[in-house]
Amino acid sequence: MAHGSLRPIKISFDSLAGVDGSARFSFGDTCTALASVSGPIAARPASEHPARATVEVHVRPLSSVPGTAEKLLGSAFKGIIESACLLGQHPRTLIQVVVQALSQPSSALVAAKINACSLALVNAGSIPMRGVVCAVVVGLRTDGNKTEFILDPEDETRLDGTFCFALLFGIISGSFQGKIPPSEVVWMNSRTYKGTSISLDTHKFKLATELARTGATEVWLRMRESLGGFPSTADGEEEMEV
Amino acid sequence: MRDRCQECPLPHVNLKLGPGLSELSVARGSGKGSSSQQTVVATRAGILNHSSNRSKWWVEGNSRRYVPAPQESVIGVVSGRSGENWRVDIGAAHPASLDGLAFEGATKRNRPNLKVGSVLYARVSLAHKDMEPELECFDAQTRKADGFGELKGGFVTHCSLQMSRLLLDPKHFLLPLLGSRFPLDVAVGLNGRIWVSTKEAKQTIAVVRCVEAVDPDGGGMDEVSVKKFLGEMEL
Repeated sequence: MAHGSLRPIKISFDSLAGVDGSARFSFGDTCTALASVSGPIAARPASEHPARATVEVHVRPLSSVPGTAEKLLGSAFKGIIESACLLGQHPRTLIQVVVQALSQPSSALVAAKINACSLALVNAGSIPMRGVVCAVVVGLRTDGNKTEFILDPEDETRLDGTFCFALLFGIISGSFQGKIPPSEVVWMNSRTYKGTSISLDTHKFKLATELARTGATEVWLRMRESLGGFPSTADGEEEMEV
Repeated sequence: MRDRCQECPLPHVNLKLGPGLSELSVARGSGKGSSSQQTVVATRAGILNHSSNRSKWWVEGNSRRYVPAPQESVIGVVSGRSGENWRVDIGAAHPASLDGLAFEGATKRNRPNLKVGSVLYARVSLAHKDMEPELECFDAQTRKADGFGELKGGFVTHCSLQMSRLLLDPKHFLLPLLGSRFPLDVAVGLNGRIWVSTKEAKQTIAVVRCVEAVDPDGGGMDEVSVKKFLGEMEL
């Protein structure tokens, strides 16, 4: 069974000096991340690519210096950003993303970091994007034979495991009907808390994915609202007669 | 925001897509029946605008980083020399190249005397994603200087790209308002740079502060508030 709702989302654009775009995203009060983007800027000759832009993501933890875990997250976010941006329009340049954790580590913080990156990229406005990536966490609790999925759980230590889903909302395939663009999962990370491994069949995994999709849709609507769009535009969008 | 991520198949030859819009191949259907179709997609957050005859469409958004486009006037700072050409920093990813002779009336014996650090008002003559941008200091049609060339003295400040477009609009209030208070020489570059030259330093500071205040990125002050703001400065 699947249930749960997102904690209140807070989005703000800090207008950090020295960078091209920045944004802050939080789930509730205890899970905040700040991201900044600069690009397209000059790339080091060693890292420039002749046909597309290079993406570099630096993840900074709340305390102490970045370590292996941050490096791993950085390379995961690089893949996510590369799937969302049209990099071929700016060859031999660099898009530098810096993500700063502002809360204690958790799966939800990873989701907040991904959302902050997406918002910072849209805020920068200089890198063309095919869509916006929204991420949420789905928690898992097993009770004998029953599995329960909870959207955006507040206390992760009480669960058996968590999944962090990142979905790209954009026109990738299919037709666009209604106000919300189609989404597809571009990244998924999972972890267990009790030390035992968990196995899920495809049906249950699909339940988790769909629960994540509803959560990510809400994140997308809040992002759109924060950027100046209105979540409840009137139906009947004018036909673009060209 | 991504105002109407609408699909728009491309049947018309005359459609021109400006900044913020791209044609993307979108797969339709799945598996064996899939085919690819070109669709117009917004690639930046902003307001969708079009020309009066609906042939040109673009997304008006704001950003701080300049991406060179041909025929745009920009303010550059000379950062070096490479042979006959000057390396000019225009705030883009790559430095631009300015031919030493790309000035009105320049010959091999009569060249403009530029130095590293000189400020220039130039026009982007070539901007291709695979090549370094190139600049020229004369008007494309008339081949005369027409305001392009070295800007002597003055002060260069930065603003967002939307602010530079607003300042270049003759109907915008700010520059006429400032010009009515004191004599003012301003050059606006579409790369988010503004060159200001006034008689007194406090007038330059006033101009810089007003530009920062009116910038949509920094608050977007309106005319009434700017008048009050100027009144508080001892000019």
